[in-house]
Amino acid sequence: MGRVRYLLDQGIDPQGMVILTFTRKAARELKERLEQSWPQGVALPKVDTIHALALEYWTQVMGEAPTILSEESARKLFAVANPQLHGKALKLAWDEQALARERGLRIPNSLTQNFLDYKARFNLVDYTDLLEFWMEHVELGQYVTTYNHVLVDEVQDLSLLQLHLVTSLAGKTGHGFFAIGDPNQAIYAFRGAVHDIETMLLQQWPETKRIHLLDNYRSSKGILDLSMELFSPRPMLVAHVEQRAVLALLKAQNALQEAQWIGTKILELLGGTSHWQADHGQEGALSPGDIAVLVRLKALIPPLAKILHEHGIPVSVPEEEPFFVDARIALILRIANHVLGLPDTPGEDIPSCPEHIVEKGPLAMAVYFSATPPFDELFWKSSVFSDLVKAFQSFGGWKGLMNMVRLETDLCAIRSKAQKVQIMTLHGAKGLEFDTVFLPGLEEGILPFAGIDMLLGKLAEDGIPDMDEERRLFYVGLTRAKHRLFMSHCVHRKIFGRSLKLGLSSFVRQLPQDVLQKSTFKQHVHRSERQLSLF
Amino acid sequence: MQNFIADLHIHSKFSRATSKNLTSHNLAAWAAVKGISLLATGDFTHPQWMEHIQRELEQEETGLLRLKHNPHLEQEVPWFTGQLSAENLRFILCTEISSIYKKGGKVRKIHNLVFMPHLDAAQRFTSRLGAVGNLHSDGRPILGLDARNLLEMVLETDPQAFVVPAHIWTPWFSLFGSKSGFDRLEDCFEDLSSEIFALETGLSSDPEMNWLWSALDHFTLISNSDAHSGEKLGREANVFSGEMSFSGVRSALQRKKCATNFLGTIEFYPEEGKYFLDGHRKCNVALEPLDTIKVQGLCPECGKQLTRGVLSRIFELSDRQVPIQPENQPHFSSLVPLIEIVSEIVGTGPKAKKTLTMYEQLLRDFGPELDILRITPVEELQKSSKILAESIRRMRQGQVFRHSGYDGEYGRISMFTPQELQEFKHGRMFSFGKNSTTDFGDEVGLRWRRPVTERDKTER
Repeated sequence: MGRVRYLLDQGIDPQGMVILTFTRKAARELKERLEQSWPQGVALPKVDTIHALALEYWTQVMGEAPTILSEESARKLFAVANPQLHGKALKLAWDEQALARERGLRIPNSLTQNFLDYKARFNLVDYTDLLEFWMEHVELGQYVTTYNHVLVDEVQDLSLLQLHLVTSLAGKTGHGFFAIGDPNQAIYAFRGAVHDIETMLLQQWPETKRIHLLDNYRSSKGILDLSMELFSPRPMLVAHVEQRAVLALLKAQNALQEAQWIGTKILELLGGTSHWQADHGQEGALSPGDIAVLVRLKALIPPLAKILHEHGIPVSVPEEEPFFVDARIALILRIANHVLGLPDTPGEDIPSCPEHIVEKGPLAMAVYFSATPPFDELFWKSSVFSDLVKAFQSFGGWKGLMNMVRLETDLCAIRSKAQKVQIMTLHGAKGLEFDTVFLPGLEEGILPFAGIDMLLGKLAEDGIPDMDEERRLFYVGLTRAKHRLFMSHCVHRKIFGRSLKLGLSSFVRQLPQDVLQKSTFKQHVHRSERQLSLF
Repeated sequence: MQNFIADLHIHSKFSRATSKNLTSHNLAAWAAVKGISLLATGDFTHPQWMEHIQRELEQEETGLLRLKHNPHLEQEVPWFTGQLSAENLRFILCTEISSIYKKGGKVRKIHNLVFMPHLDAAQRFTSRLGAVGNLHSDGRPILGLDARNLLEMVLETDPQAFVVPAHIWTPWFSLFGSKSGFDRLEDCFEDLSSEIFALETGLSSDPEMNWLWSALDHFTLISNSDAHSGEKLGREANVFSGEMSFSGVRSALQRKKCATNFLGTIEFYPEEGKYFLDGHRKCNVALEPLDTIKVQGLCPECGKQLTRGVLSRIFELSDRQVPIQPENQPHFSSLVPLIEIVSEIVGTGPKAKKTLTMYEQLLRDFGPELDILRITPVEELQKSSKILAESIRRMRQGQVFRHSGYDGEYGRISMFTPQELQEFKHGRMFSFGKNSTTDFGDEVGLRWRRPVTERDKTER
């Protein structure tokens, strides 16, 4: 933000600026913040993720948007392209080649080649293809950058491929390149993030100026001081938020107690959600959107969400995208719309399909199209397509289905307007900030994560987790909080169908204990509700 | 034209902290006891309550609902030995939504009433709202939905559907509440502000308080009980005349010429509220807003910040020194629940058997409670009890002692002084009626209602 403002004040044309963020959410937030303080009549600079820009470039060159595979479909396609692989071997091979590609090897092995052939046959691309395509054009000189100023956020999590791409956007000299990152927040090594990005940049452009940002304007001093204890040597950040931090650590007997404690605390922070709570609770001045519950594993989300729901707290959990968002499902819907003359027909050219086939439904269309691009045999077996078939049946044909899709799309829009307490993974919280953060499940084995095999009591085959990365992940979690941090752990926890007794996380034990307000749950606390008064 | 009383904001047993026997039959029985003919269903977004509504009620063409079977209501209020009928009772689909969200950098907590013109619309609305949040855990769902967006959803559901902001001055949960409300209605509902035509004054304010602010002149001010148990039904309510139908009620609230008219409200004394005046409970200090300004908001005893009350909040936003009744705004009457009146006379608590016995006798002799409080001639009542008749006469004329609430301390309304009651107990009849020398005094909490000139006189 500051840099953009500075550039603007220097008279730099914002059209020549590009700001790259790590997630779409971060891009959206940054854009909103820029808009608020942006002078009228001046165009905003481009703010987006690198993948979104790559997609834009592809579309511009090829004249139409490609059909992008979701990660799930990409994996499936990889499996079909390499039928000799199964189970664990398949998973390892996929991870390995994905990592290799992020490190800049286009076709690391024959498995990828098979995969590539398959994608080419059906005119499909995955996200990495977009980057590779762009990179190739840069190398061949077909793409010449139009940006004088390239600003990169969260640079510590870029993969080699992404790094190459962003540096080439800045041109040979690197003039106008500005990257910001925190090495202590590097948590994407498992996806091929470059280990020491600073050194690499310095090698490329020895004149790069290093600026150490030691001032923190987000977190209260207490939170920052606490978090820095995780590292040695201790970073020397200076907090500029003087407000006293709330630092709490709860020991619960089980996950239910832990969740109920979180629910009660949230109600207090919201100032209660009904009259009697407002009268009896302490000043609460937070809105639900100020609060986040961050966990290490997705599996911890549903039980938490359930209890908070029961407390009457508006919560949001990361949702899977509905089937009709898939590009090829959308295409089928457009075909059906077009052929049947239903409303909402766009005028684009779309594959034709005889009316009597469309009328019979998606299964008949599957037979008709079979392997005509962009469709492929695999697509007809995908979960999104089977969802479409089910919806077609349960809504009694296209018309009902389309109505449902319209309604759902409308609901998605409403849903996105509502403010809620967010429950998400630590990885998902990257780049975000909240007044209050709950960190439940701080048990050795969960954070630091010891791998699923470990938790299942099996011999660990899925590799030894990187303790440093886990530590940084915990650090990311702690520093999402501005004022209040509620950590908790359980004596007993049921996870993946097993009941486990894991001790308190070694990371928490490493923190200075005297600043934490500790509490322990022994028994269930029964709350009784009182008749409310209205004054 | 027939008058009818409507209570448009109540809850079912599926809301939090409500009586567990709040079913449609129980509501119907209490409506008969009180004399209410139109009752909100409450909580229609709650799946189980909606199921109950569909099982027990049937849709009429008027947009209202009625009980399917004529049930035996007597078992719902076992202490009552008379007859009760739900023959003329109708229900209107209504629910309260609690919105908690951030807007303009501040946390807002606002309650709104949503009215639906038929079951079908109510169900469509519920299914859309279900996408926003959890409707199962509370009959009054708590959503992170901006009140403006809620209003938009309501309007999109049906052109007849409408929203009324609930108890607009309650500090924590209302449109103008001091803790988490707005300073202007337009800041809350933005482009859709013109779709709001009525406001619920709530227990914490009466129309007179709202007449201090000219911005509210063009809204119809309604009052409801927000009851969480049967006996609280109708403690505040609305009086209509003419046709009882959804569109009639809607048009009357919009002040359109139609077959239904809005005649005004039945009010609680807002002084009873525990945050009426500014004050400090620990120091026993209660002040009217204008006096609070004089001491700069600090407690004259301990020097700490005073807890600000509802009246003070109204003064903060309002633009008049004295309430002025706008043209077209109907009158209102302030009542005290009959059980409290009886309790004061009998000298036992409102739940005591002695109190209940007299209450029951009165209902059997004179009909529904709201009739007794509002209509039954004093002479008639004298036949039953002289002191009750006097009590009700004083109440109707506003000759009551108002001990205003402040800083969490409940206020109290009484019709007699302790001496008067004492004298009555010893069989001596004091002077009733116009000759009464009882001074209703220059109580704190009352001065603001009087014209400025008169106010000055007392201050000097």
